This record gives sequence, C-alpha cells and structure tokens, in this order.
Amino acid sequence: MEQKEIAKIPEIILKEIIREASSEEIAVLHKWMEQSAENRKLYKKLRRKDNLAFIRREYNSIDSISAWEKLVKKTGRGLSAGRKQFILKTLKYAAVLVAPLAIAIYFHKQQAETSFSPETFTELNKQLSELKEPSLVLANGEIVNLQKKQQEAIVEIDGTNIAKVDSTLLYKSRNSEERKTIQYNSLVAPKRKVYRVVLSDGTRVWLNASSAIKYPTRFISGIRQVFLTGEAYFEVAKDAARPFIVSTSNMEIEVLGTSFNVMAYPDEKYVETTLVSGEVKIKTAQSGITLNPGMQAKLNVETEKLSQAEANIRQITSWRLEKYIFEYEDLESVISKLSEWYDVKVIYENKGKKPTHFSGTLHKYDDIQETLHVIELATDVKFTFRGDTLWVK
Amino acid sequence: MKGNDLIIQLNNGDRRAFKQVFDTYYKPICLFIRKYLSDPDQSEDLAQDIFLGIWEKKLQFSSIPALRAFLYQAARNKAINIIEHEKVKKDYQNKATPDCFTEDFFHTNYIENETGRLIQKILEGLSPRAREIIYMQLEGLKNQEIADKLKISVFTVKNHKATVYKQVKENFQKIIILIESIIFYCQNL
Repeated sequence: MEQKEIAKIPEIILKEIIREASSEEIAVLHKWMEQSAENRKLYKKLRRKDNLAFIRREYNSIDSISAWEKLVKKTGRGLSAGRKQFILKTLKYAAVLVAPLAIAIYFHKQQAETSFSPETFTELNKQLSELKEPSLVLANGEIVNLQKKQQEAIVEIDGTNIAKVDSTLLYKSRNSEERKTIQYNSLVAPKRKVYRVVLSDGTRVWLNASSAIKYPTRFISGIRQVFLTGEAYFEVAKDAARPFIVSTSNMEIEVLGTSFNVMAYPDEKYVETTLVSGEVKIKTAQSGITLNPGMQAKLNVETEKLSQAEANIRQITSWRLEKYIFEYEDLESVISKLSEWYDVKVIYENKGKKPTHFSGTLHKYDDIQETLHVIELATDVKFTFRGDTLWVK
Repeated sequence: MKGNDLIIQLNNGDRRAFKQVFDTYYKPICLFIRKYLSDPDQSEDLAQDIFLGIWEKKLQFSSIPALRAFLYQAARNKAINIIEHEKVKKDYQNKATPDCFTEDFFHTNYIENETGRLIQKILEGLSPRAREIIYMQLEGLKNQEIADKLKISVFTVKNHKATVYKQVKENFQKIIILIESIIFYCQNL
C-alpha cells in the first residue's frame, strides 16, 4: 500500500462516517483494512461510540491555554515581535491587494532564491537534526525515507524522475513539458551515513554523514546553484554556459567543471574548500580567491579571514571511500572525528598532556571498540566506556 | 485563514497564523507523543518544544501537509530520542517496546490521532442530542431503533438526522480547509 494512501486514511474514515466518501476512497479504506488484523482492529476502535467519548475526554485532559501561555513565555522576545521589517511591508501590501498577490509574492520569493539565504540553511539544519535516516525532502515537503526498500522510482510533481540505486539518487531531467518554476529537493545524510546524488546535469555529489544539500530537480536558469550544510565532494559536469555554484552559509564556490571537496559543518570553526582538479572561485562576505588544484581555501568563521594552503587531498577526500586516513594527525582531532561518526561523548581524564599523534587507516564500519583498540596499540592512550561516554586517558 | 494563506502567514512569522496552527495541532501532537511516552507532562513538554522550534527557528513550510508531516515526524523523533536516552537509566519505565520504533506503529498512531482530531473537530460543535444520534448511527442502529431508544418517532429521527448531517457537513467544510483533502501525500507523513 502506498504511503500517500495511508496518509489519507484518517480523512477517509471521517468522510465515511459522515457519508461523504467516494467509492474510490472506500476502496482505499478497504485495501488498508485488508492489510492487517491490526488495521481492522484500529478501524473498529475508531468507530466505536465509547471511542468518540474517549477522544473527547482525552482532548479535554489537555490544557492548551496554559500551554500556549507557557510557550509565549519561553520565546525570549515574545510572540508579538515581527520578524523583519520588509516582510511587514510585504504583508501590508498583500493585505491591501488581496490574497492572489500574496501568493504571487510568496512564490516569487521562493524562485528568487539564488544567493545567500539564511532560511535555506536554517531549514537544512533543521531537517538534519530531525531526520534520522537518509532522506529526500521533495518540493512539497514530502519526506522520502531512503533507507527503506523502495521498489518504484520517485516522481516529483514537475515530472522529474528520481531513481534510487544503492545509496545513490539519480535525477533524470525530462525536456518535455519544461516548467519555469524551480522545484527544490533536499537530500539529508544523517550520522554515519554517506549518500550520493547525481544531479540532472550529470554532476555527481558525495554527501558526507551529518550533511544536507538542497538543489533544484532540474537546472533552468543561467546558473546551477546548490546549498550545502556539512561536507560534500563534487564532480561537476562541464557546462561553460552555466557556472555551478555551491553556497554554504559563509562561503560561495563557483566553478565551471571540476572536482572539489567542501566542508561547512555548522558547528565547525572553519569552512574549507579543497580543489582536486580544474579551477574554482571562492567568495565570502569579505574577500575572494581563485584556487588551483591541490590547494585548500580555509575560512575562519569567527574572524572571516580567508587563507589558502596546500592540502592533503587523499586525506581530505578519504571519507568518500568510507575510510578514515590519518597522517600524523593530532589525536584529539582523530577522536573528535570518531566521536562524531560513532555518536559518543568524549571526556579527557588528563587534559593538557603533551599532544599525541596518530597515523593510519581506519575503516568506518568497524565496531568502535576495534577502532579504538587499533589506536590504543599505536599510541599510549587508554579508552574506557562508561555508559555512552568515552573516557580518554 | 485558509490553508494556503495560513502557510504564507506562518512563513512570514505571523503570530495569529502560528496560534491557529498551535490550536489545531497542539492537542493531537500531545496525544500522539503519549503513545510513546508514559508521562503526560513530558509529552506536553515535547509538544511545546516542537511548536517553539517552529517559531524560534522560523521554519518555512510549502504547504499544510508539509507542516503536518513535519509535526508528526518531529514528534516521533523527539519521543524516540527520549526513549533511547532513558534506556540508559535503571529506573526506566516507559511504554517503549521494540514495536514503537517501527513504521507500522508510527502509521497506526498517526491514523488514530489524525482521525481522532477530525472527529473531535466535527463533534465539538454539535448539540448533545445531535451527538447522541451520530453515535447511534455509528453503532449501526436503524432509524426505528434510534427512535425507540430516544422515545421519539421515526419521523423525528429522520428530521434530526437531516439537521445533524447538514451541520456536520458545514463543520466538515470548515475543517476541510485545514485538511486540504484531495492530495495529502507524504512518504513518512
């Protein structure tokens, strides 16, 4: 049974109660009921008289008025404060010029999203924190769990076909019935999951764990722009007429066709772009540089200082191979990467000890105990687990 | 406010729109979380967190279904987080069974709550007598049986029913604005 049918069940049950359900809807309801004894039980329960009384009692047991008051208190600035001056202005016009215009303004606002837009990153970070499985967020907000076995291709409302092969999404752009509006999708890779997507122009993107990317289902205008929070590796398809732009909340990377790695985790001090081949232009609020292959641009988020240095490409892009490659890396940095991947808290028992370094290749899918054992063997640190906290000595 | 306008206003940070969303979904989301957690206060706190998040983080939604999908998905994730977190404690007493992590549980819980929400919305505007007639109708009683129970004539039952259904349909039209009936598709709800 399709998800969208399941989603409609509550409404169909209600319509059936008030005799407003169509025969198609009744058919869907029956299909759902035939699926399991559980479903039939639920249906019977929902239609029982005592259940109706029960629902009323449950609803009455919740005091939503004081909950609302609590909520208002929790919002620091109070709910009455408007968000932005210009939005208020827009609203004023919208109120005067009736709803259709308001809708037009809204959609215009959506389409005009071609540069830095803080909301985009708020939205991506929110999706990242809420979704625990690799997920695709469609233009209408529908969330597709990519972890589940999906037999059929996903079709976007604009007709774009999205195929799923292993851990890769493939966008096939259909030139017929071309639409002018841009539909955005977001791909979310949660902790410990790397995902790949091939965009409609053939650009390949490896999305690292704890990262999310938002992109149009097809590229229409003069630029190809995507939005990234977290880390991703790009192999951009050549298209001299349409530059490819990766926007992060602090850095914009513009390319014509090349391979590079972008690391822009929201909680990191630095945003880094490392160029593997080709040429990229980096822009930040303050400055801009052009990178050559093998070089890394590093932006200090606090000071907004942009610098470049030679980079260890193999090490930086190793996450794509689902391996960690460390070359004389500070142990704290090693442990911090591992703790992010395995999702454990870390406490250092004797801080301020002289720094230790670690070199070696660790496989990401090994048990953390095994991984830690390798490090224990190679260095003089000891690891102990207390609950889900890792103690380092 | 109608569905589309409501979303536009909500996205723009309009307090009234936010209040309307809260009024519509706060109770259902509380009840939904209660299926995961045994503590009603904790369920309410989680529900408040979700609404607070929408406001404070200025979340943008493309449609009512997207908003609803987000609410239920967030409620589930937050509840499961609590369950996982509390597993570590010894005095762990939640209802959590392995079941509650499954999609099936989520769907069942979703259907039960959303249906409950719609029914509640329909019923709240009816008179006690009208409600009584709907209940009996649902139990499958014939007009004659209803007449006998209420000690009124079959003719009066029919009249009552006509009025009740008219009222219900009017209510339905009002709430359908917040259902966006025809297309509500969401993979994970």
